[in-house]
Amino acid sequence: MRVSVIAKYLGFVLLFNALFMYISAVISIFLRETSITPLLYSAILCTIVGVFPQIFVEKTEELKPHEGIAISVLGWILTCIVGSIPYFMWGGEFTLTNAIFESTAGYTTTGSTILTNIEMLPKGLLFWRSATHFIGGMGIILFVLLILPNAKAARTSIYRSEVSGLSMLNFQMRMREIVRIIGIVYASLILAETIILWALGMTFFDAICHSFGTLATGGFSTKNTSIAFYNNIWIEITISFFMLLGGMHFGLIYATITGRKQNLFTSDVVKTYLAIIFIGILFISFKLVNDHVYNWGEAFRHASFQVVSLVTTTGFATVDTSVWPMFTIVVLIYFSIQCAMIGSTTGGLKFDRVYLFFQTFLKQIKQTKHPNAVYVLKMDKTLISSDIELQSMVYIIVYLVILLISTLALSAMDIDLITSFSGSVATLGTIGPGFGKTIGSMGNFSTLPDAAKYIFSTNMLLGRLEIMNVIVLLVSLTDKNK
Amino acid sequence: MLKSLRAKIFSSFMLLVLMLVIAGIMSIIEFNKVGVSIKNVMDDNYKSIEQTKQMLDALEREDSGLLMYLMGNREMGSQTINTAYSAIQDAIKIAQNNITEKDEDKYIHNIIKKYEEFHTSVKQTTDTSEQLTLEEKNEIYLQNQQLFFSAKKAINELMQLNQEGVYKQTNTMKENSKRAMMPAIVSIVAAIVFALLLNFFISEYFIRPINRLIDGVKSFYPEKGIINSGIKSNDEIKRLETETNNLIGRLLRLKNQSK
Repeated sequence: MRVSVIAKYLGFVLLFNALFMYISAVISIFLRETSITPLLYSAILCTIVGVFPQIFVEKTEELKPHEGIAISVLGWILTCIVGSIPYFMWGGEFTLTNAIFESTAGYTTTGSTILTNIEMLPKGLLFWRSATHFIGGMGIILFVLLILPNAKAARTSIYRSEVSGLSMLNFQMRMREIVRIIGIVYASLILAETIILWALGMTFFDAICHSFGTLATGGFSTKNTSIAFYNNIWIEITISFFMLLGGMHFGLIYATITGRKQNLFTSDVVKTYLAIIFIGILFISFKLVNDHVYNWGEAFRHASFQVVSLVTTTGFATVDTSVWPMFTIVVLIYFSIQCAMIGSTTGGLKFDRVYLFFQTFLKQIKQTKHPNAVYVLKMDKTLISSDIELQSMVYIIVYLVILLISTLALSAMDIDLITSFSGSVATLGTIGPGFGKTIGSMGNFSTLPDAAKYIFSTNMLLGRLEIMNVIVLLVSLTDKNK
Repeated sequence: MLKSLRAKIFSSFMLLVLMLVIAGIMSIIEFNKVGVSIKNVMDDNYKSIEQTKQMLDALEREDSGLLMYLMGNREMGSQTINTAYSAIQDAIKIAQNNITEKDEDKYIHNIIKKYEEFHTSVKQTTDTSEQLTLEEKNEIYLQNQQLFFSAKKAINELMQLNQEGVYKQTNTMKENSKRAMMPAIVSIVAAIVFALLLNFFISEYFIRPINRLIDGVKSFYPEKGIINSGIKSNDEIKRLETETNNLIGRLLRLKNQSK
């Protein structure tokens, strides 16, 4: 593995982060806030350290596969660390652990927070917090690929390590084109949502921050009570709609807009995904009405928002779900595990894998009935190779094993089961809030021990990086025959 | 990418210097903010608190002066009232020229209003006290007490506002002093990382090619013709390899000619 080449690409990652730190610093300078020095110095530091490898390392055309994985994994880790510098330098509630937690929650688009009073943060820092969602939503590595100078082979290697095989199914085009489409869809949806939210009465600053949080499916709000602050049904509908879009395959969104045959309306996976969400909303609404928590209108309104928010791994809230009946919590936990679609900005297990799991399950039943028959798996009329099928099954198992290990480790710190389990689900699925009084939709992670925060941060990274890349990198580093 | 070794080394150290210089400047700016906060506390908030104390003291004296007047010690009472009035007016003027907190001017206007009501009442009492009985005097004094407490309350509110300001400024100072240290702390860590990286790049791009060249020279034999140490860069070390090969070529040609 060529360390110098990896350092060169990590330098690009730092430079890209620096760009957003400068923008945040300009906001702070303009508003004469206390976050000028933290943001400006962090930006300068990232620029200097990012430029440094470019002095030495020559342009590289070829990258080995494990170098691509190393750039992808280390790029994310480095990004989370440098992203915490402005928080740590600013102080307040941000200790080193808290700063790293907040930064990781931002970049991985988890949206969990340690802040007890978000509104006292300077606007520049609030923008930086939302900008980490924006960067992480599309993926820092894909952003770098978008702006990278022409080095086709190197780009392909990094791209393959960042984008899963399953998500490429709905992209029938070349890599460069795919990255461009993801960028266009992402930026256009953010712009559209910002304008609508602004028109609905949010300030421009809040509108842009919430749009970053929505399309990146992150969930950082500029208000302590999240979307509940606005108590505006139209804002809730708008955000729900864009959360749903943020959780769908960007290739399919692009295909729908450009009028291609295979689009959101013809996709069986999308139809099943939406049907399950609708059934979930109905179940929760019925239970809330039955338990006299809300009337039908209120129940449907809040159930819809919470289900869409959790299934798309966003984590915005309009109510405190910790007071909801246990049945509704169980349904919401299911959606937190299932998550949204592959090829979107979401993290976690992803619905496509769950869909594939049930297809495989049915295939196995048929195969047992007719041992000599040959059955093939299809998703949206595309044949699924046995490699992808196996990868998905292994991924589901590894995901659940990590969930179990994380819950066990947190329980060992005397953290109650609902917090340990729902916190693990929420961070591994990059959702944000968990369940229960402490880390529920209106709570935060501030009171948890530092070690727990590091476990949650690791979960977030694993959830965002889709686990396997991290394992492959660890194997590559320890493999003597690499 | 820079090509010459000199430019690479120079740029690396310049980046390190730049990082440390900026950290220094940022720290100076933040420490300057601490200084401003101290100035705000000492010069502004503390000055306002002192003036409110003066006002309270003068108000108490004016009240005592009224009591003296009503008790029959008119000359002493009148003198005390006049001195207290001047003291309060001076303190109000100073406070008006030392507005540091939001809405502080409104608080001062409230003091002026309440004090004027009290002082007017005191004046009216002293002007008419000769015709009053002891019971009437007692009743008027009690009425004045209401206005006295009202004025005192207004002054206390201003004092509280400035005390809160001091508390806020102290917290800001605490935060600013922490922030002033942060660029230095982060720079120390960054400088260590930078030094490790620099060490790696020097080893990768300077030491290793030189070692390869040394190995190439050591393992050279005339039949080989040239030294190929696999240096891919386009810097001084590559030129050294090229020139060494040229020298070898010239020496071999000389050797062949002498034969």
